[in-house]
Amino acid sequence: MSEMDELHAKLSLLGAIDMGIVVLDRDYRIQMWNEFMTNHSGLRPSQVRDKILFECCPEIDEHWFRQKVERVWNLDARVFITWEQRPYVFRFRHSRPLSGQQQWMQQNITLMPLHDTRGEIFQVGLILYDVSEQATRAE
Amino acid sequence: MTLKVTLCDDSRMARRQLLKSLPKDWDATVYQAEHGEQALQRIDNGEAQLLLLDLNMPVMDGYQVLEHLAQHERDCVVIVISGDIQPEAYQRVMRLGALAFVKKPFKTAEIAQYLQQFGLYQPSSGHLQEASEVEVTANALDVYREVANVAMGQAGDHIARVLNQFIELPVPNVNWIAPSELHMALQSIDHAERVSAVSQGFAGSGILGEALTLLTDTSVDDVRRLLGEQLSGNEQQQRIEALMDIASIITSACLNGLGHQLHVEFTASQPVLLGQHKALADLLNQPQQRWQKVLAIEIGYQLPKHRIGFDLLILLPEDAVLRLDQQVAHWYAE
Repeated sequence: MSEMDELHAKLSLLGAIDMGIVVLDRDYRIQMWNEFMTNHSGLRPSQVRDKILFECCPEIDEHWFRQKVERVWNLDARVFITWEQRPYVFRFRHSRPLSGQQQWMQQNITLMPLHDTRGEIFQVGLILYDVSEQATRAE
Repeated sequence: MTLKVTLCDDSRMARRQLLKSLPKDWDATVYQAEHGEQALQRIDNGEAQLLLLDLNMPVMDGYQVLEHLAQHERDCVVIVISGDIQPEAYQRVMRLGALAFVKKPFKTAEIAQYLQQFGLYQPSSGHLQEASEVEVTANALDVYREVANVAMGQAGDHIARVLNQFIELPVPNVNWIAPSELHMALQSIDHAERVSAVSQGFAGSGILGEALTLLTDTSVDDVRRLLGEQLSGNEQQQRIEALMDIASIITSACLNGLGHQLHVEFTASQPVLLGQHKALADLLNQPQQRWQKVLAIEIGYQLPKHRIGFDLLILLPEDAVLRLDQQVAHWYAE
């Protein structure tokens, strides 16, 4: 298998995974947007690539969200957002639009520093977990 | 003339590391002290013309030693060596008259550089001697204590930056406990108060553990006020956000610090709200006792200007510690 094939296989895996993956650069421009994000938002990677996150997703509370992301840059550490403090960051429909209890997908989000080969943080990764079921059970 | 030097640190492990990093060709005799009171005794005995001083210690801490020295004329200069990397700790120490502040973990060459800079050491001036009564044997628990000490300083610095407050660092407690005694491990929380807790699992190199962050309800409300406009939602959501923020900041920083020193890359999972407004005993009451004993690293942070106190409890089950022990064996083995 060539290196390209291997890379392709890895990227398909990242695409198929049932979690949202977004990568943001220092200016909040979207560098990666996986299939999960595309499927739930209706926005294709080509539509969001290099665009500012808040322009693509105006439902995000920008002032608040920036503080969370800046903390990743400042502390070089992970920051977590749970559905209990804020039910969702991205306004996505519940993944079962008919039988789901809530209207919107309840989300846990992990923001993590991404490092270059010298160990310096150069991007922030966002992982979105759909925790609607968990939230329904807890209520 | 042979210089008399006292190493003052409550951690045997730390004294041992420091001793190892002193230049062998230094015309000096080295004494040891476990806390500030012993250090002052050494000074009175004329055994500490130079004091290498840790800050966070039981009985009498490093700040108190410096205050004492500032008030009483003594033939003693002090270099502070501490894991408390908050800018305010540095400023306090320098105001109190310390020569220098060396941050833990330090590099071996750093100590000799400072000594040379202050004219305390010339290469090949003699040889380093240990005062005869010195006995330094360290075990794995000592290693964990010192490693926790350094990691705690880094986590405290992160919290201090986010809350914009000086954090008082404690002496971490590292002990084997039975899971049923968890609540007894928490020394800085008033057991009569209602508490909230967040749990984060963590893993690295097959070593799995759990980090619990506990805050009293009054502390949660005070943190909420300090974070102010950084929080969103209604009061209850703000409480959870404050709790989650504190928990994930100290857990991430502490695990980073621990991992860095132990050469394990720990990754923490999403925080889980264990409970709110509960009695400590109820919160920590586990129905299933899977483990006979766990290694508990307890760190109780205090914000002196506020009523805020919170406790970080890093718990490692027996099998995780077995793996860790192998990882650290070379630290104390000769």
